[in-house]
Amino acid sequence: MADDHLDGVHQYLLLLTADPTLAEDLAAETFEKALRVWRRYDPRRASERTWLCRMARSIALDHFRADARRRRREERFAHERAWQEDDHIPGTFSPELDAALRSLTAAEREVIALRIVLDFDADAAAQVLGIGRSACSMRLARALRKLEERMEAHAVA
Amino acid sequence: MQSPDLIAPERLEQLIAGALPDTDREARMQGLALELRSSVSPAPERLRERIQSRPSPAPRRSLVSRRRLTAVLVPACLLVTVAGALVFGKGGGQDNSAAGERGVPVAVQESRSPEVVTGAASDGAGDAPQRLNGAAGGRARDIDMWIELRVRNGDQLSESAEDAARIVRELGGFVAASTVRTAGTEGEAELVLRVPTANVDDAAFRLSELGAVTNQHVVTEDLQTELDLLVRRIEAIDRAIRIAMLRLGSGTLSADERLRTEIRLERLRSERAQLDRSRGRVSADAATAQMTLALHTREAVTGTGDESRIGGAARSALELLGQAGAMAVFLAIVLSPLIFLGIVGLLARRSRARRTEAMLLERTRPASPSPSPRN
Repeated sequence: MADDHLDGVHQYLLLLTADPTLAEDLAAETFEKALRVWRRYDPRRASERTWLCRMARSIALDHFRADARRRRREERFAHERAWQEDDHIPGTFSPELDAALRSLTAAEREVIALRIVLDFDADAAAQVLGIGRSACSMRLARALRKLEERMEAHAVA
Repeated sequence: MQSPDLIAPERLEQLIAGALPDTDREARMQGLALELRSSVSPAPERLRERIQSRPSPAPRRSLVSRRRLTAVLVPACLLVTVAGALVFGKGGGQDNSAAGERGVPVAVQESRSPEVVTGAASDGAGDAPQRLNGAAGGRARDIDMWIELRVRNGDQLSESAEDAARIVRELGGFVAASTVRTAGTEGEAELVLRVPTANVDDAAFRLSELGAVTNQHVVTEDLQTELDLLVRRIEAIDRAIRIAMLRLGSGTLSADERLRTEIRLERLRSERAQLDRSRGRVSADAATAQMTLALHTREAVTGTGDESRIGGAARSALELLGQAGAMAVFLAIVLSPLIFLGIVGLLARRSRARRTEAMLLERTRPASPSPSPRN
């Protein structure tokens, strides 16, 4: 299971978090949990890949929540990581595409990762995101439009 | 600058699936999707090693689907419920049947210390009503008996009514009232009979042979205590009367004393007469018993033998299920506000979780810098 789906889950987390190190940590955590609760997996409800991506999403959201609580406790405003020249999402994306991806929100990157990069069908992607099929399609259309616009803007710049 | 030719979500789905683009914009969008798809990079080797160092999971047990589980559990629960109701019902039916065989559950009513004896319905022909010992130990009793008999048809009903009148006359009694109605083979009759108390048992026995006893009801009221009280009072008044007469005959009374004694004597005699009348009434009540004989041609209400047991068990089972159902409805009504509040709370919690999730994911930048150094 790990061998078959590690690449896909890692790619998904990479696009979701836009942070290679965080994606790696969350991917490891995802597979650790998956191995613990493997006996509860029901193949009639979802494919292995869908199940794993849903688990990865849940773990990522827990991380975001914990991080938000930590920052509130420390009474700091949201830290905006300074954009750096060499900051990029690992992969063979073009510079324009890479920059455009990083300018999207996590929710927009997430739906692109599931539908385009990992080639999930509409139902499976909707199951991972916990939304309806039509909502998932609408979210993808908006994300791709925004991505295209950002790419054009970067190209012009 | 936003392009004027926006692509609909449905068209976008087709393009992603490989449909041929119709416009430049569609072509650009499809190209973008292809670029994203082809840019997938494998997971880092250190991550792969980290995960593969974990032990393999235990083999997954085959799961029973909820549908199958429901299909098995629901009928099983229903079966257990019905079986339990039948077992309880059978016990109740057996109790009822046993009482029927004994013939008489006894209930006592509090009314001048009467004794009530009620006979359960029974279709045994010739079942004798309970013996009352009408003159039990010589005590005076007021007996009121109701006997219901089923006969075959209207002809037998008329014959039985005549026989009942004859029996009562033979035993020294009489028919106080009589009503007979027949229509073809059906009919009913009611006879009010007065029978000497000493002969009430014989009368009940002989009357019960005229048909199948379907009901009987007896109220006996003890009159001896009242009678004894009356007798003692009368005796006391007699003594007072004798004393007064002796005083009047002695000739030693003054005029005033004589007058008072005569007035007192008159009052005593009047009271004695009243007590005599009361004693007469009580004695008359105790002397004869009232027996009401009801004849009919209707079918018996209860079945016989085993059928009544099964019927009783089934009825008790249904009653039990009905009571359980009523209790369930009552609980549902009482608990429904709490259930409603629980559902509302659950939905609100889910909605809040979704909003929080959307808020977290709408952040443009990652939530925080990773603590480990970036490569």
